[in-house]
Amino acid sequence: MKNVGKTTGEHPAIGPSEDKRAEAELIRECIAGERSAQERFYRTYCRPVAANLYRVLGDRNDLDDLVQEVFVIAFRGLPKFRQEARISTWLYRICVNVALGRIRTKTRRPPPILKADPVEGDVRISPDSPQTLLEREESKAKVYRILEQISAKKRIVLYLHEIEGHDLKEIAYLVGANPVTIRTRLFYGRKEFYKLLAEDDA
Amino acid sequence: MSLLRSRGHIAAEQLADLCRGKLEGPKAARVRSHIDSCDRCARAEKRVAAGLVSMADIADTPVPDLGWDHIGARIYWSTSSERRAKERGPGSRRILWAVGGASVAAMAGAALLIGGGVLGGDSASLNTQIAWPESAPSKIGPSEFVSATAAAANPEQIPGAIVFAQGPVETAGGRLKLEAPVHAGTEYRTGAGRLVVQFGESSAFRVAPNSKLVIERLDSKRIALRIDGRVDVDITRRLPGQEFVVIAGKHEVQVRGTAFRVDYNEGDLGVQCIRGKVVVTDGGHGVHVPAGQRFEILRDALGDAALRALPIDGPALEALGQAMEMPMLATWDPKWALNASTAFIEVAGDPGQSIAVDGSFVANGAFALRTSIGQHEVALVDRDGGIGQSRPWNAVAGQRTLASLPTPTRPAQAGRAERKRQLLTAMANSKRASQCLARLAKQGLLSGAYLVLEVGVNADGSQNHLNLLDSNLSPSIQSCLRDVVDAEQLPEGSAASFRFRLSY
Repeated sequence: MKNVGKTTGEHPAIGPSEDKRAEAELIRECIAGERSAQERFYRTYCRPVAANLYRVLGDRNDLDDLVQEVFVIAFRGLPKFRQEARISTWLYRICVNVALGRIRTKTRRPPPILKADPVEGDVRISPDSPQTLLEREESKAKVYRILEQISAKKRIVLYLHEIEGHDLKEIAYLVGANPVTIRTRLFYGRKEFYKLLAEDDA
Repeated sequence: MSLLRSRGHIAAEQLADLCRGKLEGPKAARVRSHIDSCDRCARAEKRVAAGLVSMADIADTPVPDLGWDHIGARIYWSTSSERRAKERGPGSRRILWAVGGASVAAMAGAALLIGGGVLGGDSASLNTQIAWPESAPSKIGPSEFVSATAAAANPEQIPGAIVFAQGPVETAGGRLKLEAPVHAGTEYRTGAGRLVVQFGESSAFRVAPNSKLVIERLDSKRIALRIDGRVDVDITRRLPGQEFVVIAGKHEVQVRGTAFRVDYNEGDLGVQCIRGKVVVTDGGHGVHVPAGQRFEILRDALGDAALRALPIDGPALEALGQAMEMPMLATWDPKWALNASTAFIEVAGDPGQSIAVDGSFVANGAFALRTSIGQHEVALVDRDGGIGQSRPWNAVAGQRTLASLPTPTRPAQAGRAERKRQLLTAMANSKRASQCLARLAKQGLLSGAYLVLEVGVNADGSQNHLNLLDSNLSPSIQSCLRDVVDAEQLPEGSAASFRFRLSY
């Protein structure tokens, strides 16, 4: 789902009509309450949704809750989904808004004292040394730390533009705001973010 | 616009553009030239470049491993709950137990046998006496019925699960085990307790207090329950070919419907239908009881041609409808390992306390409720039906969660008012405060003097914070009074934060 915004246009990544037909059928079955279709829908999109949320927030805490929230909103909203965009794009939009809500809430909540990261699935083997991996993780954490200092609205726009590479129109669709507003947020967000990055000694 | 800022350094976002190759030609050359001659900008460029690498890393972050099945189950749970709520209608509140309702009829030796049924008939049909359909079993007793149905070819067993229990319910083997599987042959004696068993999506039966229930059959062909006392049955979906049959004493009573209550007491039979249709017969006669009607027979008098079903009056019907609500798992899949996806929350409560779980009233007093694993909110319900402050409890697979009710907390406003009063009293009695104001008082200038403070008090009476917000007093007197307030130790009570004006 990450590639939804790689094409330009208001509703990115409109796929071939055959895919759209299959999607339309899947949506119809989901709305009809067919459990197998709902499960198929979930299985198809759960990983991209989780990946998107994880990338936006940089935090595994409550990620399963947020994935659940995205799908509950999606199933609730499917009857109103007009299919002008692909499901993946639409889900991505929900992800962005759920993440935005999470960022806003997080600023009002104290950070968790303990973080549990259960190891599940296969252990990934990386060619990088542990030291390199550690440095990369610390460097990523620094980016998130700086992002956290920026207001939620600017942060999400900044993330979508600078990290995910979406253009203004796509971001406007995903965030549900005017492109001019997005441009303004991006302008000030970039100034703030890179200034903090350039001055960060940690 | 100049790339250089007033102090002569490069703007950080321009450094990012340079690193990404978005600056070209003379602009890029100018910036590059500046960086070569400026240590500060060179350091900044390195940091920005490292940050951009990390940002690219973030964009390629792989999908984290999560408990996909578990999340999926929770989503299905959540959406199913919404669907069920919609099906119940907008005015319907999920009141699960109407405790303190009508007392249960005295138990007799009669037995009712309930099996699965197929009547999708029109609930508005007339409540006239009818001849029993040819396909229905005729003039056979309970044991014959059971043995006849036992011969059915390979019926698929339906899994059942206890979803609610309250009080001293027992099984034939002794004390009730909540997680024990429910199957044919299981016997429950409720005593003063209650029990709800779910046996499919949106299908359950509730055994009222002082009742004895034996599950004779629980399969795809027939669900057969032998009851002494009262049983409420709610079936939303039935498998094709299922029948519901009730046999009471020497009578043969067939019940077809989706939500109904059966009471039996020494030959007196009462059937009330909430949804769908109920048919009562003695083998030769049958009486249709559609939704919203009740039917009673006294001392085996079904053969009397004058017997008819009667409408249940409005308030009674509403009360019955509420009483028929049962706690059920929103998600039901026979293939699931129920005890892995659900768990019991045992709520400790006094008999007089109305308790809600996840915003829905469940019961008065202590009970055990099967829920999906995950967090659930337990709260008290006030007399007006409002849900009070809740407390979260986590249901964990394979464990029982002992949940207590949230401790009623004093409203914050009352706490603030009390703390304010305590501080005012302390200041009024403070000799040190009088000393601070002595010179002003001597000169008769005290009237109109004021001091506005913001005070935070901890539960142990110590001060959390103290800010002086405004005053028309001299700085020395302000400081003196502030120190007096700061030194005050209040008694233990509620933590509060408030603004506080000392006026003279």
